[in-house]
Amino acid sequence: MDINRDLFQYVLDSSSLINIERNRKISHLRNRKGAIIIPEKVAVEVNMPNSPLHRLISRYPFIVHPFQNYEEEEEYLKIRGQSGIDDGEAAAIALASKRNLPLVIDDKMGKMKAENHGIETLSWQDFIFRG
Amino acid sequence: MNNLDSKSRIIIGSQLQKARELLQLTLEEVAQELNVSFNDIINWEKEKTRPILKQLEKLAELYGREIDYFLKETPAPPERIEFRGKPGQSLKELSRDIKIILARFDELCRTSIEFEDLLNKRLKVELPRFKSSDQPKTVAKGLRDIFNIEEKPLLDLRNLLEEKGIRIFELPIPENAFSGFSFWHSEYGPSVLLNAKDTKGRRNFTLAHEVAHLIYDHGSSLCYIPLIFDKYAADLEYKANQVAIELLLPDLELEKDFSKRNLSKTPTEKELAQMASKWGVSVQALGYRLENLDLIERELTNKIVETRPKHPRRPKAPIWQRQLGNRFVEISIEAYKKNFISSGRLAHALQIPIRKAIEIVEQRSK
Repeated sequence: MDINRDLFQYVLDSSSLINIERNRKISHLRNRKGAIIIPEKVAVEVNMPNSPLHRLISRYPFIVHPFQNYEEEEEYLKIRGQSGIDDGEAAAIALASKRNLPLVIDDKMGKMKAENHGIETLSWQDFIFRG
Repeated sequence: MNNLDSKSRIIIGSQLQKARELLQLTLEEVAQELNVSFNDIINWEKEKTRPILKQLEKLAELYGREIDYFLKETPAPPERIEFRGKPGQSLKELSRDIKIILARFDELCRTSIEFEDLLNKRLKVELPRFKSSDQPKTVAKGLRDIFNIEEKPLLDLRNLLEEKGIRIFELPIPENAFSGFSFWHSEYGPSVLLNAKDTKGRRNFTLAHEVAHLIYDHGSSLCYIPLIFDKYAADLEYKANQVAIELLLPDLELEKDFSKRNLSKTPTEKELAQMASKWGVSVQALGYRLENLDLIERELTNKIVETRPKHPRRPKAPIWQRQLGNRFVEISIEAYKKNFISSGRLAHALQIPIRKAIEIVEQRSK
């Protein structure tokens, strides 16, 4: 485990988690389990039975984060009301925004929205290989 | 629950009220479902207080809505629905599961409008309107003329109508409570919902029937079309059925096809089924038409329908694609490819998991 890298936490969106799974890099998530935050609504979207992400989430449930307070919920609702965005992306952007954390997101539309909120974004490759 | 002391107006009370009223739910019923007080629901709808997220999610589930329905102003559903359902039933008596289907249909129409607006591709309605004095045969001919298909079988009616600006969706209707629902909405334009549980031929017939209601300006119609036609059906239903028959089974071409097949006055179930398949209708619709044209014996259709074995067929297209229709699927994918919507939004619109949505886009891009 790279200790320097894991001083930082990252919020992960469904698009990146699915890319990581498809590229068989789930072991990187396991190794950095202390550094990753999967919003609860994202977990619902990616948690398909028998998938590698399902096994990861079942084994390390602490990586799944619900909203912790009213401000996070309110931020989520504000973003969810915008056109073209869905539950998972809105929750990921809201958590990254309110906790001031970088967001790992590959979805172009979600990335644009996140950057408009002043959030630092990374692709799944940036997170796995350089993050 | 939160008092609204902040400036922001995130949850719109009138949207909560609109969603509840479409399902004809009382304040008490909703309060009981959410385990809150009657006054809480009033206060949420009047925006004096606000539900917490879990409560809002519960309301979305209860009302058959997406969360964002409560976060922005949306077009109002039809104020009045003409109930032409099963005899002895009324709209109010329909179960909540059935009424939720109407809300889900409204959500599909809303989503399609949203995507079309993002793409600047709002459907242009090119559907003629007819006077109530116009005969069903004239109306059917008028429609065939705009499709430019003379008297050929109308197997592709849904796509032809979608090209003319009609929104068409299919959803499984619980208890087969109705066959179709249609309205001409100020925002969505002409829109039709079909019972996805019905056979293809039956859905085609229902579609033609609902289109007749639209072009005759019969108002928002929720119809149950019985398997065995009721000769004493209400006037508007009878007329819509006649348009559907004339449209799907034009007499001259049908007579030619019948004689080409060398069928007797008592054709077998298999012979009728083959002919029905060619014309894209159910066996009973074809049978009644042939009876009316005196080509087969009277009452033969009812005998065949009552004893006919069921042959469920596997649909060629995936269920989600069939129910949403080609046009909706295409605009959803285009909106995603042009970065107007996210992968999550695409998956949600297509009612499939995100992985599957991404795979479909990749396959189509190859």
